[in-house]
Amino acid sequence: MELGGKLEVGRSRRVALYVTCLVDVMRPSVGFAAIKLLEDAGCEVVVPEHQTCCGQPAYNAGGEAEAKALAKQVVETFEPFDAVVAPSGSCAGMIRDHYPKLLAAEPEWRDRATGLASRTYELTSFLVDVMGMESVEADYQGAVCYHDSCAGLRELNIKQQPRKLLRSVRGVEVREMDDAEVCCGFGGLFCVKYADISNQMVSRKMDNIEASGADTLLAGDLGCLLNMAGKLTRQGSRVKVRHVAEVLAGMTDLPAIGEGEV
Amino acid sequence: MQPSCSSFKQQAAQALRDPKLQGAFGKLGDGLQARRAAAVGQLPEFEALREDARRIKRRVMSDLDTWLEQFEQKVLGQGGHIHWASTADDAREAILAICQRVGAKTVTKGKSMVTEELGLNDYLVDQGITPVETDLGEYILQLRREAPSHIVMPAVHLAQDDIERTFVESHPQLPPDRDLSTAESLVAEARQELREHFFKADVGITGANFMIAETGSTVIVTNEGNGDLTQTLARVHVVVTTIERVIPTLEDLSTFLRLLPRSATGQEATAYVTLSSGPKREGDMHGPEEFHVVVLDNGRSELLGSENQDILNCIRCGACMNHCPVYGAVGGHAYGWVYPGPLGAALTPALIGVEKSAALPNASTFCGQCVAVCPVKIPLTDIMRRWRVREHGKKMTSPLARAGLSAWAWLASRPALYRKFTGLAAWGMALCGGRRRRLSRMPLAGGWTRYRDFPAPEGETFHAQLAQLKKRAAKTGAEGLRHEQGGAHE
Amino acid sequence: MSKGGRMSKARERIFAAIRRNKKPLADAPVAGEGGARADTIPTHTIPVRTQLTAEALCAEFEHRLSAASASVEWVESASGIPAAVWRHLSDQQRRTQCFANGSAAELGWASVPELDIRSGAGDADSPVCITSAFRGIAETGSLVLLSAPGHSSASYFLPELLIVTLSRRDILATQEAVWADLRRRPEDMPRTVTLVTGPSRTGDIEQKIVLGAHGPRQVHVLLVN
Ligand code: SF4
Repeated sequence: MELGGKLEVGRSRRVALYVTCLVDVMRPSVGFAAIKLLEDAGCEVVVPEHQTCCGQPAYNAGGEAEAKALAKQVVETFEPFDAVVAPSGSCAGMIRDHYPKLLAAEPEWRDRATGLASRTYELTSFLVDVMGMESVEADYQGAVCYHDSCAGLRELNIKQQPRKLLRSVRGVEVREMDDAEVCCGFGGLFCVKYADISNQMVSRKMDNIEASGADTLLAGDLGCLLNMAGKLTRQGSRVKVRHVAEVLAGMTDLPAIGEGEV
Repeated sequence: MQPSCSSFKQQAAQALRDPKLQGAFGKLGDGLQARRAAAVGQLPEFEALREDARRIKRRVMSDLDTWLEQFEQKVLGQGGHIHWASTADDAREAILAICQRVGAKTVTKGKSMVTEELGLNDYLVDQGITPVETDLGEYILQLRREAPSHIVMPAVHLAQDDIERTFVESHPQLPPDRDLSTAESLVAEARQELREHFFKADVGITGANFMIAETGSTVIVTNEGNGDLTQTLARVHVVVTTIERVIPTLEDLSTFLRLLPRSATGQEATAYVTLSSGPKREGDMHGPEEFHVVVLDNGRSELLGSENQDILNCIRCGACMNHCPVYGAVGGHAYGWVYPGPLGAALTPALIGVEKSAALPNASTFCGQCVAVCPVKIPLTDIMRRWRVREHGKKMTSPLARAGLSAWAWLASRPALYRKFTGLAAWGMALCGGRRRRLSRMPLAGGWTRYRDFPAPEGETFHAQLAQLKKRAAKTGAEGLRHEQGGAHE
Repeated sequence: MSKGGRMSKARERIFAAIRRNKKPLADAPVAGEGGARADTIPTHTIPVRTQLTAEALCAEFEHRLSAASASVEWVESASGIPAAVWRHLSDQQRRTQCFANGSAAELGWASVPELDIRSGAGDADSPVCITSAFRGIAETGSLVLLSAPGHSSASYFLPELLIVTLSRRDILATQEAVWADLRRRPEDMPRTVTLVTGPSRTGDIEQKIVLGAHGPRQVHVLLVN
């Protein structure tokens, strides 16, 4: 996959952070963790104000007109930057993989979308593949397993990048669960529309997580994380759930996802 | 076959409650998936072959009429007959006419999904002709009066003891205390039972994995050998296939033969690949006196040139369903028609109408595993998504869902208002979450909270927190918060 | 309307729809693709593992055959075949009629008088059948069996044990090489061309592999040096 050149030494890069709807509302600390990691990598981070939703929920529900309007808004908002980085394989994949297809019938927009697509990255892939990051400065005590979220894995080839950085975190032991690449059953609206099926999928996931012996489950997409965290807490599991960026940035003071005081 | 795709949800729920089904489909991972992975891993050229196959198919589709005509010429030249069928009715009548002309009483059948599409067995029975399925899986299903749940492994939903019971009930002439406790003994009994049918059959019907334009051959790719016995021993061989199965040359066949078995069952090669060209020739000891090819369209030509054309490239390997977590959860019958899994979700709406089958393309998380394994690189999820667009465009989705979608899009295109809304939502949910920091119930998300908690948000949104940080930084004049929040331009 | 009339209507309808809907290839033409004619053969990927020396070819063929659960034995010349067959048969099989066809029918069976060999229009349903292969394919360990006068194509599928003779020089690397040889023959395409790779099998019961579904449980190959 083409991922653009490495950063020249001494040259900063203006990177726009695409926070994503879910991080914005559900887990802001992931956004701050992303900023820290990007700054540590030597980037200048900008958070464009006009950002909202990338349009994926509408796109996947068949609302093509709505999705197109939102896609254009994202293209306009993020076009001026050297790179766009999102702490989500799903949203980055939407821009990289789907915008050019979605806007194919409008040549001007298609070209602008293609341009943006070529500069859009998921966070860990940007850090490793573009910025050449080899390690992070962070501590975390625990055995972690990493769930490969579908869009990141299959649209953006994200597999080794988060694992490579995780192995450099002091105190972390990376364990592999069985079927780490199998969908957790989230699928956006799928998990509500086809709740029974989604439940079966997340239940199989739970078995694999527990069997791995890890005490912490990580992933790069908040949708999947909320789904799996919700199932784990409902089952009374002791496994903690965090976005991978929290651990990489050493920002794990906050309770884990869905972890309460009572 | 009468479709019941619109009852997908109920059928799925039923399957999820059935521990036997769960056990059967739960085995796909260690079985077919693992076997495919091993076989593909041993062939470094697998990716290149997928690309070759995709190109061959695209080339064929761009000139489908030419290849079909060439095939037709060759078949006729070898003394075969060809029957064009625009609809399922045409095909059924063509097959019946052949059977009646030769006075057929029994018809043996090799595995053929197209004949499932035609509902051929029931039709023949109504006409007084007895069809006998000879593929082991199909034979078991015929005894049980069930439909296939998989396109390659039709009886994959059954457990061995189900089959044992079926054989005890269906073969009353055999000693009731015989040992049927192993798969081997069941296979041996079916072999014994079916042997004489091959010799007795007047007509043998098979499908075709490919038609080769260059040689006028139909090709079956099999493991059991029943397809060959069906087509060699019956007096008349009828091949039932569809227009998109034609490929140009023998070399193209080789490309597909390197992909199909590996993708389907993880084999380097299946036990049998047979190319059949015309009827028995002078001096041949065996072979059919007549050779017929029934070529069905049934809506496929309308896919040609459409944005969903690529589904015509399918070589029916079943890999997409073997690797689909939704198929793995609910099995094949839940899909409610001939073709289950991602293939069905992409193809069925084209063949029976999206009105009757919209549930199928919706029942996907778009995890993309089917696309990753498809040997001809069909963009299955893109096709499913386009059926959703079609459904939405025809206003077939629920009014509530449509209103929600437009409201969300309206809000998301007004960033300032959107911030207010998300701020409120985050605050409200955090409040409801309380010190447990999770919700056990939520309006409009019963599907979620029936099975899981909903983790509560932190409280304030990212954008609100960032704005406050900035304000504080401005007041103290602190350096270091370089991430300005501002318009895109400086 | 008559049946024939209806069918030609259907043909017209199908071809009209195809011609109306088909779109020319949007992509640049694929490398090596001549025109849209069957006799122009596009270049395509052939696995590197098939590039073998003559020695390695036989070894690979044997290896793939056994991977496909077939057994192999070398015999020095065709005259050694009857004895090799006798050695391979179980006691029970030795007592039954064996059916030989193709060039296998013309071997010196009299050298092993204990064998009950039938040829010609013999019983294709015998438990043992001996036949000769047109070619072997090293890539997959496949035997290429043709229908031809004197060959019973049914006998490839009916017996318990299928014994196939193949001469060393007929082992080719790939299917493509076999297709080329088929085209070089003066005759038409045979009525059937069957690639046999090991015994018949099924996975229809709980995905367990069982040999001998409808066809032979055992395939034994006699390679003639
Ligand atoms: S869609 Fe692809 S993976 Fe699925 S059956 Fe067809 S060829 Fe195989």
